Amino acid sequence: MKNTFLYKVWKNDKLLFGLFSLFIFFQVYFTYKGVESFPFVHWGMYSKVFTANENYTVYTLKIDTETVCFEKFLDPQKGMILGTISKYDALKKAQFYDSLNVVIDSRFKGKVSEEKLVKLRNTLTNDSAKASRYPAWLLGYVADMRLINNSSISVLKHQVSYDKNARLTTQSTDTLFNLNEN
Amino acid sequence: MKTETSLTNYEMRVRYFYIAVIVILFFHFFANVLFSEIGRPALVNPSIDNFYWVFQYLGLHQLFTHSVFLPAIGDMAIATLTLLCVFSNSYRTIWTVLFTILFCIYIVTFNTFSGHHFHGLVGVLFLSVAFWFKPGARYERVWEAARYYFLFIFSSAAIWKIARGSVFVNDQFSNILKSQHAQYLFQYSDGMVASVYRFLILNSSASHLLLIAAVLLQLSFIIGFFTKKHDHKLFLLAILFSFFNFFVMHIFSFELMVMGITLLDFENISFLKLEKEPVYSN
Repeated sequence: MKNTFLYKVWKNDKLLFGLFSLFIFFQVYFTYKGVESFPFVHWGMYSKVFTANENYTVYTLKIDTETVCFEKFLDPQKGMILGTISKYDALKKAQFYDSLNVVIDSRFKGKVSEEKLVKLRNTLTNDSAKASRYPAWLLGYVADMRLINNSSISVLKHQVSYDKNARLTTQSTDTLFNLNEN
Repeated sequence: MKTETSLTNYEMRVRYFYIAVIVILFFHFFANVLFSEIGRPALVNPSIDNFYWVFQYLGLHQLFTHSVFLPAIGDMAIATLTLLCVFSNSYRTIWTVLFTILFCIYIVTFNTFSGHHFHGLVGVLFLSVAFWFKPGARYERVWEAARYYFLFIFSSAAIWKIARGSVFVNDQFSNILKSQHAQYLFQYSDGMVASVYRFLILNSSASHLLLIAAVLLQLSFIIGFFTKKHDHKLFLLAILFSFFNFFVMHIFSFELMVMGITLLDFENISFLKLEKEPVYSN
């Protein structure tokens, strides 16, 4: 026990020991609660059990008529593009009602003023107004990266499934959005 | 526990850490995800995270994105602070504290608008805190705490997989790969990489072996909690894991590996040593 790092910190630097203890407490607390509260993040690295799905969702991004290859993007920008497309897709599926509203209501409704509740909803959640600005933002973002002036963007959503050779076959295709700035 | 740090060892840690940060900043610049490059994103993603909620409620997520000049100023400030942390011995404490604050704002802003909360940059944030302190006992303890956190990251990943039982499921990694690479295989159905992914998806026993190897690798970091004798080997394992993660999972985890320098004893690695003792001014 006397050889442990924390014991030595306790013996020599009480302030630091207090800060380390607080950090450990919050790390354990948020892990126990099953949520993240930055910078107390969960390091499971794909630890939940994955089951095979019948279908998987993939996207095609088209600038004008040209299909954009996601693999040509560096990892953070690919994350930015696909992450936001997926977010838009989830919103559209829920008729642009952000599920975070439920959490906000359960935590704050009746406990804070209506004015604050509205501000919380406006700042933390997405709605149809924000979603309507998304295609134009994505067009600008991708066009800026390609250093060309593009005028139209469309995103297609595909439901695909694996066949017995692990090749993908498309089950359905829908247009997620289409924006033509001309 | 070592409580004294030679200036040379301290200086080398400073330089290697902030040079790594410069590389990360260049990477993010070419990836078009710095403040001034992401434009004025429309959608937000605070998720259920108290810190993000407060951050967004205060409007901080728009501070460096939704104005005319501040995005460019924010980018230049991060770059300038990084250089000051490396090259300026005077007022280094101030530069390092400002760097941590601004880098924290950058991480949270990027994650808020990217639709997913990436954890890779957390290592930079934590390790930067060590440099708030001048060489000495307190600095050394914070550095050592960062080392324990790095060990915790890997150990935690292994323990979660064992505790949840996912490591014992034969199809686990095959199912992960199906989900992880559907987008890639949709656009690139042919080619060598696609063939490797397909092989691992079809042969769940082979992919399960890879998963077990990865979990054993992660589990080996527990050794670091008891001894520092194997730190260099653990450092190499961390690098190996990053390559494995990149080639098999297509996940870029090199940013997190910055924390791996806590496993290096610079004084005993001749090719990493500085040639001259730095001159310090108070």
